[in-house]
This record gives sequence, C-alpha cells and structure tokens, in this order.
Amino acid sequence: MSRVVFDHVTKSFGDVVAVADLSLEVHDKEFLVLLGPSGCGKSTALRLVAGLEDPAEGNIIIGDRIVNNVEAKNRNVAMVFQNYALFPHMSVYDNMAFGLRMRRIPRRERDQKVLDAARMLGLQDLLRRRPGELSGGQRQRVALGRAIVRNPSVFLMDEPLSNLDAKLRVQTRRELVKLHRQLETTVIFVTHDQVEAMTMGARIAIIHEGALQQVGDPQEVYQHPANLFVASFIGSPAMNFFHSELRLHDDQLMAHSSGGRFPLSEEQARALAVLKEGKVIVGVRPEHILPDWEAEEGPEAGLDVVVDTVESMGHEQHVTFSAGDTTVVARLDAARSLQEGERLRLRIDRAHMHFFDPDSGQRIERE
Amino acid sequence: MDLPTARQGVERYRRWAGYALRYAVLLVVAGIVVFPIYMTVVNSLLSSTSIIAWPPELFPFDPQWDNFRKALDEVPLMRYMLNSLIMAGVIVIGQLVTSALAAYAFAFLRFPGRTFLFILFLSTLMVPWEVSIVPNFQTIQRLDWLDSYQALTVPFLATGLGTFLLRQHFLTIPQELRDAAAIDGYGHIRFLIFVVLPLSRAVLAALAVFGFLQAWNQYLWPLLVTNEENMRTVQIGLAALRGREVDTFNITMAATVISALPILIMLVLFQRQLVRGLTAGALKG
Ligand SMILES: Nc1ncnc2c1ncn2[C@@H]1O[C@H](COP(=O)(O)OP(=O)(O)OP(=O)(O)O)[C@@H](O)[C@H]1O
Ligand SMILES: [Mg+2]
Repeated sequence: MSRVVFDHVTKSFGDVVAVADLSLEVHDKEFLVLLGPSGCGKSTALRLVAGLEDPAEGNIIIGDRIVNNVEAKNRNVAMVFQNYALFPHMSVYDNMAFGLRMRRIPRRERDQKVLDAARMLGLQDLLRRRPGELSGGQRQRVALGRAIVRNPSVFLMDEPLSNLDAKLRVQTRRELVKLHRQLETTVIFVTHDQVEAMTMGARIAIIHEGALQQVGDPQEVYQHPANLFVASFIGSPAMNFFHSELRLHDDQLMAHSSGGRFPLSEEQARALAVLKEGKVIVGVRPEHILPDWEAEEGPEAGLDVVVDTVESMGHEQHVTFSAGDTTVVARLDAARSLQEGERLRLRIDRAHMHFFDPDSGQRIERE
Repeated sequence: MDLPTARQGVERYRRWAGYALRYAVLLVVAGIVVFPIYMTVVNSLLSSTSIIAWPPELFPFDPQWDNFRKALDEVPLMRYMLNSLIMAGVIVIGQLVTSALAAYAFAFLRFPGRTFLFILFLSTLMVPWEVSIVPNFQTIQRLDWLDSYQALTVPFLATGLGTFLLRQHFLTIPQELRDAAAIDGYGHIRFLIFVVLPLSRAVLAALAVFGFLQAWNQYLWPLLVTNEENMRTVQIGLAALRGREVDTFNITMAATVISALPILIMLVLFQRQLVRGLTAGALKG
C-alpha cells in the first residue's frame, strides 16, 4: 500500500503561503499529475511528501502511516529533480548507486540493481561517464535510474521534462508512462505544462496559489472545469469569457454581454436560478465558436464581430475577433481564409456553454 | 588565385607578429619575477671571496656545493625545517577542517543568527593580525604553552578568509544536491565528505597552499613564543644566519635555497589545482 494523502496540509514561508489547506488522496499505483502555474506551490507539496519540508498544519500520510515526523530517508520515496541533481564528480554508476550505498546493500546486489535499471533505461554503455559528458536526455534518464534502483514505494517527479527539447519531451513522456506501468508504483508528477498533464495523468490535480482547485481525469477537468481558474488554465487557446447579465425577452432567458447575447435553454435557466444578482460569466471554448456559414439551424447565440488577427497552425487557424469591448478567440478550420477587419457573425453551440458565478468563480452545473 | 593567398600571407604574418609581441612581454615580466630567485641561487654557490666582489658575479663559474653542507652544519637547519613543516602542516589541516565545517554551516544550514555570525567572521578579516598579537601572547603564556607546537599552531587553526572563500564556493552547489542526498539517507557530515568536499577540491587546494605559504613564512609569532633552539622555525634560523658577517652571505643564501625547497616542491605538485582553484567556478549544469 503506497497511497499518499495530504490531510489539510498547510505550509508557509514567512508571509507566503505555499500550500494552503491541501487535502488530496493519491491512490496506490496511480500516476497523479500536480498541475499549476509557476509559484503555486507544486514543488513545496512534493517536498512535503519527500520530507524535505515540514508541514505547519495537517498530516502527510504514506500508506497508512502519518509521516510528519519521519525523516526523509525513512519514507521510502525517491525524487527526480527538475535539474536532475546529479553529482558532477561521480560516474553514472556511482550516481545510480548513491542511495544504495547508504542502505548497506551488498556489492553484488547493488551492481545487479544498477545494471538492471541501466538496461531498462538504455544506459548500460554510459555507466563510466560523468554527468557532464552526457546529453540532457541521458542525464534525465540517469536521474530516473537513481530513483528506480532504490525501489521506492512512491516516485516524486518535479518537472523532470522541462529541460528537454520539445521532441525529446514528447518521447520521454511516453517512456515515463510505460515505465510507470512496468514499475507499478505510485507516481506524483509535477508540471506547469497542461499538455504534459493532459497526456500523462490518469488524474490531474490543479493547484492555484497553494490551494487545490479540482481533481479529475483529463476529460473531466476539460469538460467540467470546477471554477474560473481551471477553465482559463486548461485548454489552449484559453476559454473565452463573457461577463453577462440575465434578462428575459418574451419568456426567453438571455445572457447579455457587450459582445452579444445568448439565448438559454430552460434547463440552463433553471440552473442559473441560483444566481441572485442576475449576473453570470459565460465561458465558451474556442472550438465551440463557429462562423455563421458553418452553424446549423437552431436556437443559437449570435455575436457580431470583426476579425483582429489570424494565426495559422496549418491544419486549423486561431482567429482573434473583437466583439464590443471583449475579444474572442476561435479555433477554425483552415479551409476558409479570413481577412483582417472582415465582419462576420459567430454562432455558439449552447450545449457547450459553461457558466460561472461571478462572485465566487465557481461553476454552475446544469441539473 | 593570387589575391587570396597574398591576403592569407599578410594574415599569417600579422598573427605571427602578435604572438611574438605577446611572448616578448611575457618573457620580460617572467625575467623580472625570476631574477631575484636566480640571484639567490647564484649567490648560494659563490665562494666567500667572490660574493663580495664588484661588479657582482652573475654566474657561478666555480660552484661551491660545499656551501650547502656548511649551512646545514652551522645551524640545525633540518630541525628548523621539521618544526616549520609540522607547524605549517598542522595549521593547514586545522584551517581546512574548521573552514570547511563553518562554511558548510553558513552555506547549507538555516539557523538563527546566521547572517550576524557570518558578518562577525568577515569582520575578523578587517582586523590585522598584529593587533591581536599581544593578547594572544598573554594567553599562550598563561597556558604555559611557550616553546611548544600548540603555541605555534593553535592561534591559526581557524581562518575567516578560508571560511569566506569556501562558503562562496559552497553556495554554487545547488540545494537540489543536498535534497537528493538527504532523501538517499546522507546526513550533513556524509554529504560534506562525499559530495561537497570532492566538488571543492580546487578551492581546498588553493586554500591549503595559501595557508601553507603563510605559515611557512611566519616570523614574528614564532620568534615571540619560542626560545629553545629545537623549537625554532626556519625563518628565525635564517634571520639568525643573516645577522652575521658579510662574507658568509653565501652560506645564508644556501640556507635560504634549502628552506625554499619544500615550497617549491609543493607549488609544482599543486600547480594544476591552484590554477583551477583561482580561475574556475567549478560547477556547471
Ligand atoms: N525555501 C523557501 N523560502 C521562501 N519561500 C519559498 C521557499 N520555497 C518556496 N517558496 C515560495 O513558496 C511559493 C511556492 O513555491 P514552489 O517552489 O512550491 O512553487 P512551484 O509551484 O514549484 O513553482 P515552479 O513551477 O516555478 O517551480 C513561491 O511563492 C515561493 O516563492
Ligand atoms: Mg517548482
């Protein structure tokens, strides 16, 4: 059993609250991604599990044991650091054997373990080299190897891919997922890159300013963001937001914003009844905005807009429009070319609208 | 076809001229540095008549190797050297140990009063040694340590400069290395021994050589705290030789050459580390 539990954990440095009342359970053998912008406390959360920092409040639980007062070396966790933290004066072999030496593991067994890990990672020919004589990707694998040989019950990885070039990152991402399947251990993987999080994580925990925002699988956090922060952080280009007012027009509830107005379904209207002030933030992902020529018939919202900029991606284009004093980004098919300054009407599929309470920032769910 | 080769010729000539000029300057400077040392060696090989000759002889055409034997006979030079060696050795080891430990605390540990203590350490650099010589002497006297190795070494076992230099170097060692070692079960002392010190070899070597030179060349303090012949250090022995007639100057020079040998040997041995210690910020990526 190597689940990891944060139980109302708080940690601050002076005035900075790095981790704020974090409660989160990482299941046994799960690959969990901690995702959040720079400085949100991801590394601190990992270091709390590793025993490199002590929580000010709350408990860290590994397995069934509260480990608050257990020293780092006795927690049976291994950590892969962002800059790999390899010892520059030691060979690859010595780097990988570093943790084993301290554990009084007999020499032959140690050699065997290092060799096994090296083979698994394709490092067997590099064991004599110093870290300075390796490429970035190789160093990254040595850092992984050092963690693997320890046979830890929990792997902690702090942005281990951020120093690799784009191509190698994609490749290593896949290898890591495969490795996790092979090793069958709990992994907590920290990243600020949402693409990395979406592609690797069985579950993603999104953190902002030290506080947990949402936990869920990639689909869930994408399709049902729990609040404005998650909605804006996940997805690229980011979700469009319309600060709107709810008004009735001939029995039809509409959300009015400076950019346009959206008719709402009865179901949506019922959900929005919880809003006392009649104000709502409507969120729409760029792929759910369609120019008029593609929209099907139906009770869809309309926006009158002017084309601002067009970024071509090859297979699609990201178009920025201005609608009133708001800007709207849409992901459109590359087939039809748009000119700057061109006027057109956009439609929004009402089934794909997200609603948020402007005061609390929380999602308002239908039903 | 002609033009490029002509230009290449000019280029090559220019580069060659540049080298020549550079080496000429280096030669002149090297000459200035080496000349006094050369003259010491020459004088140590002259006879007592030629050493007072005018103009001075610039080459020992009739080398008097006997001078060295005389120097060793006249004063217990070997005993002096042994004393100096013990003194300098103990001081160097003591300084390395104390500065490494103190620098580690300043660089890797968080404790209340750290900044204040560090500034206190630094402030000892501003106080010239001569200021503390009298109280130090009184302490040694009261401990009844006169004419002992403790007297020669204990006041120098810690150094603010060494602590400062090592701390600066330790700060270039990423905190992540400490964290990685801690997770793997390495305590502070083991981390210091297995990671920090090996990564600081160049600085440690520079510090050792610097400390050794300083200890070896000490004069005033050994003079104050030793009276017995067999506790004297080499610099005092040389000074005693110097205070005599002019025509034994060659013997003094021979003794000087002998006493400089350990330092010469050490410099040759440590040359590589020294240069690295002075130039490199030893860590990268
Ligand atoms: N040792 C420390 N002393 C003081 N403040 C710290 C310390 N460690 C972290 N902090 C602060 O705590 C907050 C969270 O830091 P943390 O390193 O956990 O962020 P992060 O999410 O890992 O960011 P990044 O993606 O940039 O690595 C930051 O505001 C940081 O300045
Ligand atoms: Mg971090």
